[in-house]
Amino acid sequence: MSILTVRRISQALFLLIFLWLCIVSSLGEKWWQLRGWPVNWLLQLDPLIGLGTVLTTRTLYAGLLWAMVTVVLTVLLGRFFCGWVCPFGSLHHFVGFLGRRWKPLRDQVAMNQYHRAQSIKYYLLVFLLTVAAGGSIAHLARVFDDRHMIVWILVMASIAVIVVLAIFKLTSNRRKAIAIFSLLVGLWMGLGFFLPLDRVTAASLQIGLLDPIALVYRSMNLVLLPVVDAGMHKLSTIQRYYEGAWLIGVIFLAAVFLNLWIPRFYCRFVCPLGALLGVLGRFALWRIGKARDECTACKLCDADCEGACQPSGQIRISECVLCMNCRSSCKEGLIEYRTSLSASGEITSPDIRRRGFLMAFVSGLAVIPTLRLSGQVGSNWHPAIIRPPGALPEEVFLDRCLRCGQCMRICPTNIIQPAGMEGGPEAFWTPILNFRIGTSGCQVNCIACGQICPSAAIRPISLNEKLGREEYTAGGPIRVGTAFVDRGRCLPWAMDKPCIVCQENCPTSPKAIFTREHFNTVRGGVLSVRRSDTLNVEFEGNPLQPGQFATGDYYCTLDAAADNHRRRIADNTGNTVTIASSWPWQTPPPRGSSVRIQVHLQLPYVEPKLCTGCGICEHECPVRVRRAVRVTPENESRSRERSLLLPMAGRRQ
Amino acid sequence: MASQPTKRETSIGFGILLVLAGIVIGIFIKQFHYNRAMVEGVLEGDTSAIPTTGLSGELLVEVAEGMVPLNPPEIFGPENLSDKIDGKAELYLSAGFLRLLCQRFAEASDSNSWMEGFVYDMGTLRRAFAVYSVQRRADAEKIPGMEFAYRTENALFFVHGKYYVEVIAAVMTEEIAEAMRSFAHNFIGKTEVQGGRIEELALFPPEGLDEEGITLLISDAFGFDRFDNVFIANYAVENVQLMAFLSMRENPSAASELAAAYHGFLMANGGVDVKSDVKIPGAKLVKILDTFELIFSQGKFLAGVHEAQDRGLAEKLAMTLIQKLSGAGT
Amino acid sequence: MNRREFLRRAAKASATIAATCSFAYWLYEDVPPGPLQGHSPVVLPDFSIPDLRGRMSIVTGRDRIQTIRRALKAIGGIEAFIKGGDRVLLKVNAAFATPPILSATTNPQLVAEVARLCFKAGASSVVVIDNPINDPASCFTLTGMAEAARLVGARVIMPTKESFKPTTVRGGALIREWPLLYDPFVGVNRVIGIAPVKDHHRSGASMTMKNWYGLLGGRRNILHQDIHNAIKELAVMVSPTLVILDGTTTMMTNGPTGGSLGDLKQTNTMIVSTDQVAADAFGATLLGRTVTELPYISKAESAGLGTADYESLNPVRESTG
Repeated sequence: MSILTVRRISQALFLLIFLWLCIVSSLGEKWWQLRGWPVNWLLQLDPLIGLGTVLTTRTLYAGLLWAMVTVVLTVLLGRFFCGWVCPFGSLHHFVGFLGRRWKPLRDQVAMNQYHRAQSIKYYLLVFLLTVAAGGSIAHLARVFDDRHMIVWILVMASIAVIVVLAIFKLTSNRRKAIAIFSLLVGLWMGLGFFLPLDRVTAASLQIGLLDPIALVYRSMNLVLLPVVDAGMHKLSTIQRYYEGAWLIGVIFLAAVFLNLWIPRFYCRFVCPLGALLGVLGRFALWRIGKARDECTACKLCDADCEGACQPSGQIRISECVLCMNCRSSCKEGLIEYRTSLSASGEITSPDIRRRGFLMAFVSGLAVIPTLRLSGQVGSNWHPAIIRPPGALPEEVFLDRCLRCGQCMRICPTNIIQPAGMEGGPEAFWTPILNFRIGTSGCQVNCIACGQICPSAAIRPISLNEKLGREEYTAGGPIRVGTAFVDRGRCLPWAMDKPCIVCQENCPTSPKAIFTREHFNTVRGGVLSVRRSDTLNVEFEGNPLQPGQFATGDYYCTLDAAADNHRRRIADNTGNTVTIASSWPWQTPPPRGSSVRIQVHLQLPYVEPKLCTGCGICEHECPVRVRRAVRVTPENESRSRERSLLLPMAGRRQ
Repeated sequence: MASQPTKRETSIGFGILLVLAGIVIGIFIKQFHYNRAMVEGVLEGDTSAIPTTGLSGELLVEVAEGMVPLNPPEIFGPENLSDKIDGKAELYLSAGFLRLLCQRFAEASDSNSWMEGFVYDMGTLRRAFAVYSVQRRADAEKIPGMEFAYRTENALFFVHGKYYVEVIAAVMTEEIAEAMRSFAHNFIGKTEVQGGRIEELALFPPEGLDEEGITLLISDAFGFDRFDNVFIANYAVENVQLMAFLSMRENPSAASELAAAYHGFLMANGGVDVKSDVKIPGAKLVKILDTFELIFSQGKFLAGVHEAQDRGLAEKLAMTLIQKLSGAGT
Repeated sequence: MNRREFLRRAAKASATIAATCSFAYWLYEDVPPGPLQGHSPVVLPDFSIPDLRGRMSIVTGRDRIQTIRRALKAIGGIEAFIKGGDRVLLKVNAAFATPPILSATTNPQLVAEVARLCFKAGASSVVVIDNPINDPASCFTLTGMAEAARLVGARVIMPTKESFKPTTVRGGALIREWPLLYDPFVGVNRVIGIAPVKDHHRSGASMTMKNWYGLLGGRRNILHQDIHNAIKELAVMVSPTLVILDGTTTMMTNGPTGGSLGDLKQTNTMIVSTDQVAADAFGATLLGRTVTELPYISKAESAGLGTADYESLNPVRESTG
């Protein structure tokens, strides 16, 4: 069996596994629903996600430990992940293959030629890792406050040495490079002693934007599956909507179609994970290379090379994705996967320039503090940024969110949506709650989003904690915001129309929405009596619409009578009103006296102590476009800044 | 082209395929282990539904047939009960009150002869009995044919299933009394309730017992916050008034534990242990504030005599009580 | 050649694997993060001196400097409270950027004199702190506090974001994990609160117990929703060595900002006490109020923080004329 066949089987298998895991990410117990399927496994295998979260949180969280398998195997074998596992890569591989297979050899060689632009992905890697690392570098400078961290500093120092050694190889002018890099890090740490670095540095996890696994999960969950499922409703019982999905789809399609121009476009030029694996694979024990330096320069190997690593000449090890195509293309049988270096020579280091590296590094450090100047994580909080229940406080949340879209996929009511620019670029594609879209608000007994989040940006809370029961009674239920009644739009408040949909649907017990009774005289509702008996009263002319007051919400009172208690109207014709027979008038209203028709309104009020911000009221509100009751993140449990009330008042009494 | 795959290549290939198969199997096995609670919680129905109590506004009008309503039916819930009955609401709320429906009716012939009917939905027979028995008036007159009911000069009080009903008249005439009786009769006819019995009532020994005077204290009996569901009954033993109490607990150990706790409560409030000759194992006799308190547990029942003047008579009552309880099946 | 090269690579590969694996092992955390990050809440230590409790002096006189000297001497002298090497913290009221004549803030000369006396008793450092409502720099400057401190060698510490740590008051329901101006307290062993007697629109009065409000950060204005319990919790939060209640010029109305000299009255009284409840109870009389009109005093008394019956402390009464 050719190794190529095995590689293709492996790619197909992982692609199928990925597809299946995305399909089953639907809450339920059937075999084709969530159950215990390890739906985050491919994300967990991704070492870029592991490294990114280590830099922002200084911990390696739970399942992300799987990344070590990839790391160890990559160090030993090379970029096997890119060629054999990555579903996004397999997709590119396939489309690229389709794009080139009927082209003449010359064109194929040109398409798979090494481009200098392939070093862009390394700059992107440096940039994204620095964006994540800012906080840890500042933490490093604060080391002497905390005794345990002496160990941390020793480790960081040795890491710095390793990094320096890597740069050793990465640039031409070694000494200068070491000097400048050490100077930068030292300067930064030194600054930390004199300045409060917390203010100057800030970090968040942005790797999810370009990380291929996060990207492909996002694209599959938010674009491909909903589109495919649109008619059938097999994968989900409801049509799923995602705001801003068009952009995710465009990016995905662009990445896929670019393969028709240059195969594995994304892998070669953009993928930061590929860059990381390329760096990790430098010391690989087995590598592709020529057994003898006797090449006829037929370029057949180059034509089929997926990584554009120039196997015909000096092979660029960091670009090789172990597709094994060159091995079978070479008619002379020269190319092997073996422990010795290639006989034609190797280039192990990616072709990155010191200048580019520094640019990426410095801009990475600067990005988040600059973005934070907009105040969006503090006082300039955007009202649309309502985070799912169990989300960590915002700054820590942004340190952990992978923008993978798993929470959006699993949410049974489809209210978790990718943010657009509401939270600024830093919060792009992070999960926010949109209660208008979807089928209801946040379900009371659902804790799915926290359970599925691979990096615990949304904590895996228990149901007791969400509802504020048992050991969590003191703190009360988790609140994501508070509902506010817009009295200018609410039907009973502004339009004399009875409605208590929000109060009826409020799921808390006691209800957070309560009503107060109010009677308003309807427009044109003061009428003069022409004839009457104990149950009916007739007016001059035909002022009324038949049946208009028959809904049970209308009452009439006699203005000047002794018995001026309101009577519920049972029915009316064009000129007569009939009251309910359970309580007739003692004496019929006299002719010429005035009768007032009133509508019984129950005006909704929200009690902030009880409101959890679940948004069911906003979802049900019959004022459909801009809802008359809207939830905004005031009083959310995870934040002190947005608290409405004193701490005690937030607890259930 | 490397012509045929070498043996080495093939075996490595198979090795890799084996690993892949292992991955598939691993994933398949993993899917059996999951947190049921997370999935079930969402799928299982509408937990937010608040149960309705089945009292409709039109009910009383039907029940008071022949009479003229003087106001629309009023419905009160726990949050606004005090708007109607002010401080008394506390009693009902602590007993698990759900809904109150009330309306005033006058006689067709005379609008000054009117009455008001109050229907309290207490949720269960026991709770209705509790609020009924605690408010029993001194001048109560038994109504033949009804189990938990009494009348006074201008009012009628009874329990029907989970409902506690009061009918209170503004005047004291024969006609209005007749109207109240017919109101009660119609109410019972028009409302379906679950059957049920209050077992503890039969557990009090009948000699000297004031049968109409058994009261259920739903909570905080005798000032002790752990004393809930306590029945008290008045006895006349050798012409001396005594009060026995009894409470059914979950199991024998819960009963003896509560007995010990109540004993501790009495001691903490100035009680003094007194040696008792009563032949009840584990019984405690406490002298507190010039009266005697006898506490014992028998099976799953906690019982005793409360605030007795005479210890001998208290012990005697306790003996009859425990004999009845032993026979009751512990 | 091949072999050596391979071994070298193998060594580097193993080193990388070892480094990354041990790193991963060290950082591995399978417990998900908790709801609120941050350090566990800090609690201020008890700065009161056990043997010197229950002392109070009330001195009348027009000159603050004279009255404070006499008042301190009357309770045993500053030397009884401050010993050589002590590090003293003066919590003053610098809440507003108003001039001293408006008496909305602690009088700077009084602060300077207290600092000077502390140094004289051998204190190794004296710091002056507050977390003002208005901008800190202008508050400390315009109130004269900065200059007064500088003249005697005391140090004004400006609050910064890093100076705050969450605190939870023992048995408190309101001040839970609330940002407290904690950093200046590190290393301090004596705390003296110095507050003027002021009317306060929301709480009725602002005296020594309400003075600790200036140690809180965050959105402390929401504590006004339950101000009396909040003030009681503040008194639980801080057990000072001494409190100095400056009733020389009392703000009788329109507190806490005042604004007009007509709001002030010369009551010419200086109170020094180790019992902040008693000090406030007496201060209430200068405002013409009773203890019942200031519920936080009885709440503090019930919490065991002192006594509202100041006469029971046998306060030393003197006059400097």
